Amino acid sequence: MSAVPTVSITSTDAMLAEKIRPQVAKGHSSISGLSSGAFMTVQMHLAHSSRFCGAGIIAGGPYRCAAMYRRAAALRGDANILTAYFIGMNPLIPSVAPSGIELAKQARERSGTDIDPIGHLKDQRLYIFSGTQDKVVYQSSVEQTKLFYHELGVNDRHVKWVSDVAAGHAIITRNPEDSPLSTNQPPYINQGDFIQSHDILKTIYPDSQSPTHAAPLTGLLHRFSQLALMPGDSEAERYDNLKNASMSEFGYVYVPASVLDHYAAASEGHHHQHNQPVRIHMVMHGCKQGYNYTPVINGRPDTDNYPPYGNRYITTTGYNEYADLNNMIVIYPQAEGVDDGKIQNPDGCWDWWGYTGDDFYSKNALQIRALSRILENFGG
Amino acid sequence: MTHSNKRKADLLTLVYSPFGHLNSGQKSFNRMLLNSWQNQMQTGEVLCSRHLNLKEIGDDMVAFQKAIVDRMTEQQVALLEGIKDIQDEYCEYQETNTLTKLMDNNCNIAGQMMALAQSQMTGWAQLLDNIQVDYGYWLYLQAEKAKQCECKG
Repeated sequence: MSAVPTVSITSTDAMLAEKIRPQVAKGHSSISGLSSGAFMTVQMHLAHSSRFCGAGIIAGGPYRCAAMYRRAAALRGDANILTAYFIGMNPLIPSVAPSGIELAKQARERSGTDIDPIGHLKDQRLYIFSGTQDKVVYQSSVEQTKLFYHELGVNDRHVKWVSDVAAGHAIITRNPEDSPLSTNQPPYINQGDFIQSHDILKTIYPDSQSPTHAAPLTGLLHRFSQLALMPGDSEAERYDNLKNASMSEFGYVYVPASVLDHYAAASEGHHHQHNQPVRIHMVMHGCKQGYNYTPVINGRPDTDNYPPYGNRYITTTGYNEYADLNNMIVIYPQAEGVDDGKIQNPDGCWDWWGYTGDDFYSKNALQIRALSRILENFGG
Repeated sequence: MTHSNKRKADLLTLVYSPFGHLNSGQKSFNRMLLNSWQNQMQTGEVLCSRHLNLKEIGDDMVAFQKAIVDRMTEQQVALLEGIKDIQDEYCEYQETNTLTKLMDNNCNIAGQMMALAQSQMTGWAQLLDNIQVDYGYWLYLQAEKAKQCECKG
């Protein structure tokens, strides 16, 4: 599989979500992400576990680990940032890594209140990965994510834990234009000898098929308005929420042709049966990977040269080709960089340390509310 | 909807902003001092605890030292590689044929040296924060363990 399948992007069909929604199998959605996207994956997975059947976590620490060490600073926000950096991502020794056992205890206490009941996790399938050369989120932290889920009752046999690949901080593809495997550099897409997105989806959906050769994609990548799906009663409120959530104006969704063909056949009165149920997978990019991420040079956005990676995470990481073969819809929500004093998120990371507010991890968190509405819009 | 939409500061904000910078510098410095003091106090508490597990503490201290040396080595390697890259580029710039290109090249070299110095300073500051936060957290965990031992008698 050496060629990268090409995919064109089209503007949103206003009816797209309505065509997809009735076909989607409820409760069979899944989510995966890298780095800040992995931390957000865990948060979203815990908050809405009843809507998911599994998750893929590449270099992500356990739930709420940024709130573990309140004494790190006098103000809660400062303590969260320090804890996120130096305990959640970069613990000097394993004994100061975030404790999966303690965080599982805290998650159990919240079960059924501002997060879904923990019981939903029991039969879910997980893929958890940490490269041996990762210098951004260290292995000792990711190991605690595995322990965290184990403590919450996830069956060990349903967890694929991969910690022996000499990879840096990245999602792994087979694309020759990606960075060398062991590097820790933007765009955090490295070349290895397997396609990680395929492994994630195969782990979560064991009944799915892995693509064996590069084939042209049948479907299209559609651009949708995240602004329209933000919480809020008015356009102005939704706009404020979009800015406060540090999210981009657009997100993307890949829809295989089979899903739209099914809709067309059904609307003409023909009976058309899918071989597999239509399922949704949500992909959370990492820091510096959103479509409109702009590098900051000496504190100023380098607008002359942006965007450096554009939609590379969306088009080249292999999710779409897997989805094409397996009747899956892939949603790519997008975060953007904001660093205006009020919100400190220059790299366009997902919020796992509280830049949107103290409650950044429950169903009430701004980003989680937005992601939940996006998922719901497409039927998941 | 990116950085270009960033709000523009009004004149009053501009006039008072040096005070804001002073204040934020002061806050960061205070936090460092406070955390250092807290860490010293907690070190004393942990060392005076009746339930001192010397083996565990010794192992963790050795691991801390090793991790710090590893991070310092990484910093050093990044510095040497950065200098090497600048040297290589400096050598490549000998074929300049216009004044414009000459200025451009020299400014590039100066800019790259500044960027390297900036990344080194940020790296060392980050390591200091890292050590302080992790050591403080480690002490906190030790103190919690000691409390639990005392409760059990």
